Amino acid sequence: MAAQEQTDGPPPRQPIFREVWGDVTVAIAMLAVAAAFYFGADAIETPQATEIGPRAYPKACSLALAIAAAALLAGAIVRVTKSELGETIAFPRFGAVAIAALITGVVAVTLEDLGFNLVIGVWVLVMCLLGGVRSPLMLVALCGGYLLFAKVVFQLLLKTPLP
Amino acid sequence: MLQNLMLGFSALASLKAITSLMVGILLGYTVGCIPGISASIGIALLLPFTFGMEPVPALCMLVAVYMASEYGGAIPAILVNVPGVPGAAAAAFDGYPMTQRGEAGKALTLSILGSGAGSFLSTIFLILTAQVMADVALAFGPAEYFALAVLGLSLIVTLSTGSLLKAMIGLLFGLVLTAIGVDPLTGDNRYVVVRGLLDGIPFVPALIGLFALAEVFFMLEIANQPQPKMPTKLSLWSSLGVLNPHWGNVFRSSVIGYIIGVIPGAGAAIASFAAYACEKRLNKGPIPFGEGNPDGVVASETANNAVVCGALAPMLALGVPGSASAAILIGGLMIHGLQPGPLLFTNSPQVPYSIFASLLIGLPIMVVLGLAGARLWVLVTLIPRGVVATMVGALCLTGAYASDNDEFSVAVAVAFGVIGYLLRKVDIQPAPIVLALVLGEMMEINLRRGLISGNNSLMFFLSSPISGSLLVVAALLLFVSLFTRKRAVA
Amino acid sequence: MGTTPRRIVVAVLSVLAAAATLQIAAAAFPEKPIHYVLHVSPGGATDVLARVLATALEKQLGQTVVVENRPGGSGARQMAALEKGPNDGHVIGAVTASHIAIFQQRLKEYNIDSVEWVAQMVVDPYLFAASPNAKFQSLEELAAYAKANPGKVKIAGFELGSGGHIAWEILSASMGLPRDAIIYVPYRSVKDGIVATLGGHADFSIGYVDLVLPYATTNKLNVIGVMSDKRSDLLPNAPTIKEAGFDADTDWQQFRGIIAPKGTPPDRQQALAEAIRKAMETPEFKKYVKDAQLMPEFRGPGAFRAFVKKQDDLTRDWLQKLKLAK
Repeated sequence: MAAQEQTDGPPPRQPIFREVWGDVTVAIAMLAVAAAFYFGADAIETPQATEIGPRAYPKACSLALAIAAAALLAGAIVRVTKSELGETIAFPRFGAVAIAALITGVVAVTLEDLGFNLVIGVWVLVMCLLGGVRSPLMLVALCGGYLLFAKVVFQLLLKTPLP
Repeated sequence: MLQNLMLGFSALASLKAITSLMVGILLGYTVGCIPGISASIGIALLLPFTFGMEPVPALCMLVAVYMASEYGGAIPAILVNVPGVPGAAAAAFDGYPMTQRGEAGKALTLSILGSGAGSFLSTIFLILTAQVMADVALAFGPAEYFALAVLGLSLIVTLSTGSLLKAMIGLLFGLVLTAIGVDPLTGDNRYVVVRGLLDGIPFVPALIGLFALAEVFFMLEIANQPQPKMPTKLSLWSSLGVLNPHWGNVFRSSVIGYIIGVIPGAGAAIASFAAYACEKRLNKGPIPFGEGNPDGVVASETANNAVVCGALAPMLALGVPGSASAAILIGGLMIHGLQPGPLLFTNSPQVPYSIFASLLIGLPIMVVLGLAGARLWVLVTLIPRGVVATMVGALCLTGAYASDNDEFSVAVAVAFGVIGYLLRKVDIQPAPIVLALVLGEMMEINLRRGLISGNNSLMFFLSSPISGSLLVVAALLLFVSLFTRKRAVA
Repeated sequence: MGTTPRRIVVAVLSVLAAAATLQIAAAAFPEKPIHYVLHVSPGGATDVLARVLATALEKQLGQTVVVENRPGGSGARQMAALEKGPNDGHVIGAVTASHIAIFQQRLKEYNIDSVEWVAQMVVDPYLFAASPNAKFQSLEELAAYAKANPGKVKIAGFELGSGGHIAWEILSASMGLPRDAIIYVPYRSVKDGIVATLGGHADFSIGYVDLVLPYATTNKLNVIGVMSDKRSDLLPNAPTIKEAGFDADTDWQQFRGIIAPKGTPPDRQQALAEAIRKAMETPEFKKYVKDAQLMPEFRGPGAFRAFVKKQDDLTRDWLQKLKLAK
C-alpha cells in the first residue's frame, strides 16, 4: 500500500535489492511452498478411497500456485537477460525492523511462560526505543500506560484472562 | 407490522433498555477498534454478562455491540492502515491514503455516516423482508455456495492493484494455506504439523499479522521521518453534508451488504470487498480507487454495516444465523428460553420487533457518538509514528492472544506479520491472501459436497439458476477485466 | 483406677478427632473455585447448558464455578487444559458423544481412559426428518423408494464418521439397504444439515429433537423416525424406529455430561456427581431443560463410564465397517 512510497535517501547500511531479484526470490519461495504442499498431500493419512478425497484440493491449488510462480520466475529471467532490473526495493532502517521482528517473535514464545506484564512491558520498551522515543519519562509512561490500559480493557471490561 | 413495531418500541421505552443500548454501542466501538477482537469474538465475550439481564435489554445490548463493532473497525483502518475487524479491511484501501493526504477527518466522517446510512437502509430492508430473505438463505446449497465462492475469488481481478500475476500468486498462496487443518468432510488431518493447526490457520490472528503487524514494521521504517501534515478540520455541521455526493453508492452497497449478510457463512469481509469492487468498476471520478477515493471508504463501510441486518433476517425468521456473530446471538436468545425460528414471530413478536426498534433507536446514537469520536480520533495522526507503531503493535499482540486465549495465535500473527511485510516489499498485497483465506474453505467444501450430491458430475453446479448465474457473472468479470487490463497496459 | 476415665477421654478424643477429620475432608472440597472447561465457544447449546449448570452448581457446592471456553483443535485445547489439571476435583470439563469419535479419529493420543467420566446429564436421541417435498414420508416408504431408485436420495448430516453418520448407518443396515442406495452428504454441523434439508438440497437429514422441533411444528420438516425406545414428549406424532418397523440399536445416543482430569479421586468424583444430580433437580435447571427441549438422564461415575465404554466399542466397530478408521 502507500507506506513504502516515501523512501528517498537510503540510510548507509541498507541492503540493495532490485525488483527483479525480489520477483525471483518470491517465485522460488512460492515454488517451494507449492512443492511442500503437493508432496505433503501424499502424506495425508486417509482411509477414504473416493476420488475427491482430502488430497485433491491441496494438490490442485499447489499445482496452480507452482504454475503462477513459474510464470513469474520466467518473466523475471527474461528481464534479467534484457538487464531490466527494475527499481531498487528499499529496506529503510533494516536493522530496526529486523530487531522488531525478532523481539515480536520472542513475545510469541515467551508470553505464557514469563507472563503478560513482563513480556509486553519489555516489548513496548524496546519498540519505543526503536521508534525513536528517548525521554525516560515518556518510556515509563508508555509502558505503564499500555499495561494499565490492557488490564482495564481486556481483563476488567472484556474479562479475557491475560497470562 | 406497524403495530408490532410499536410494541417493540414500547418494550424498549425503559431506562434500562436505552442504557444497555448505549453501553452496547460504546463497548462495540472499543471492541471494533481493537485488532483481534472482531465483532463475533466481542459478542461472545460479552454474552455471559447478559445472562442475568431481561431478554429485551440483553438483546439490545448484544445487537448494539454487533452494529457498533462493525463500524469501529474502520477507525484504525483509516488512521493507521490497520483494520480492527475483517470487514474493515477494504476501508483501509482508500481511507488510509486519505489520511496521508491530511483528510483523516473527512474519511472518518464518511465512514460513520456511511455505516449509519447502511445500517438504516438495511434495517428498513430487514423489517420489510425478514421473512422473504429467510428463503434466500435456504436457497443456498452446495452448488450455490461454490458459485458464490468462485465469484468472490474472481473479485480479485477488480480488487488488485498492480500486477495481476502477483495478485494471483497471493490468492493461490492463501488457497493453499486453507488446506491446512482437519478435512472438513472426512475429518482427516491435513498438514497438522503443530496441534494448534487442527482447525486450520486461525483467521483473525492471520489477518492481524498480514495487515496490522506488517504495517507496524512499515511504520517503524519511517518513524524517524517528519509527521504528515496536520489534518484539516471539519465543522460538525459541514461534516453532515459530506455524504451527499455518495447516495447512489450508499444504496448499492447497502443492498449488496444486506444480501450477502443474509447468506449464512458469507460475512462482512466478503460484503465489503464486493461493494468496493462494484464501486471501483463504476468509478468515473478523478481519483482512482486505492489512492484515497472517498467512494471506497463509503462502499466498504456501508456494506459491512448492512451485513448486520442481513445476518439477522434468517436468524430471526428461521433460526439460521447469517453470520458467526448472529450464531452467538442465538445463544443469547436461547439462554432466555427463546428459540429463534419460524415460531418466534408468532409466539413472542416483542423480541424481533424490539430488536428492530433498538436498531432504529441505536442508529442515531451510534452516529452521534461516532461523529464526536471522529473529531477526537483525528488527533491520533499527530502522535509520533514510533509511538503509534508501538501501541498498535502491543494492541495487536494482546488482541491476537485474546482472540483465542492461546499463545499459538500470537505466533501465527507474528509469522504472518513477517510474511506480509516481505510480500508487500515485492508488491504482493495482503488483500488477495485474505480473500482466499475467507473463501477457500467455502469453495473446497462445497465443491466436494456438490460432487457427492451430484454423483461426481460438474453439471450439478450449473443445474441451479442461482449458481449458474453466479458462475456466469464470475466468468464475465474475469474475461472483461483481462481484456480491459490488457488494453490499459497497451 | 484412672484407666477408665483416661480410656474414655482417649476414646472421646479419638472419636472427636475422627469426626473432625471427616468434617475437614467434607468441608475441604471444594475449597476454591471450580474451573469448568468447555470445548466450544460461547453461544452454542453446549455452552448455554454449561452456564445454566454452573449457576445451579454454585449453589450446591458453595463455590464459584468459572466457565472457561477453550474451543478449537477439535477439542484438543480443552483436553490440554484438563491434562494440566490439577486432578483434585477443582477442574471439570464438558463432554459430548462427539468426543468419543474424535478420540478415535483425530486425537489418537487420547482414548476414553484419558479422563474420568463423572456424570451424564442429558441424552439426545437421533432422529430422521424428511423434507415435506421428499418422495417418502415414512421410513418404510424411504426403504422402498431408495431400493427402487438407488443413488437418488440424499441424506444430510454431520461429517463422515460422526455420531450422526453412524446412527444413519445403523438404521440403514437395519433397513437392509445397500451402502450406495442413499447418498450421505456431510455438512459442517448437524444444524447445517437440517438447514440444507429445509432448503431442499437434501431429501432428509439427521437431527435432534431440540434442533428440528421448530420446523416440525410448522410442517417444514416431517420427523419419520426417532432412534429411541419411547416417543419424544415434544414430538408425540413421530414414530420410533421400532414402531416404523425396523430393528435398530437404540443405545446409540448423543449425550452431554461432565468429565474430570485423569486421576481425580473417586470420592470427589462422587461428590461432584451428587452435586450435579442435585443441581439438575433445581427448578431453574428443570425450566431450562424444558425450554431447551432436552431429555435429562442422570448417570453417576460408574454407570456413565460403562455407558461410554459401550459407545466406544460401537464407534470402533462402525468406523472399521465404514472404512473410516485409521
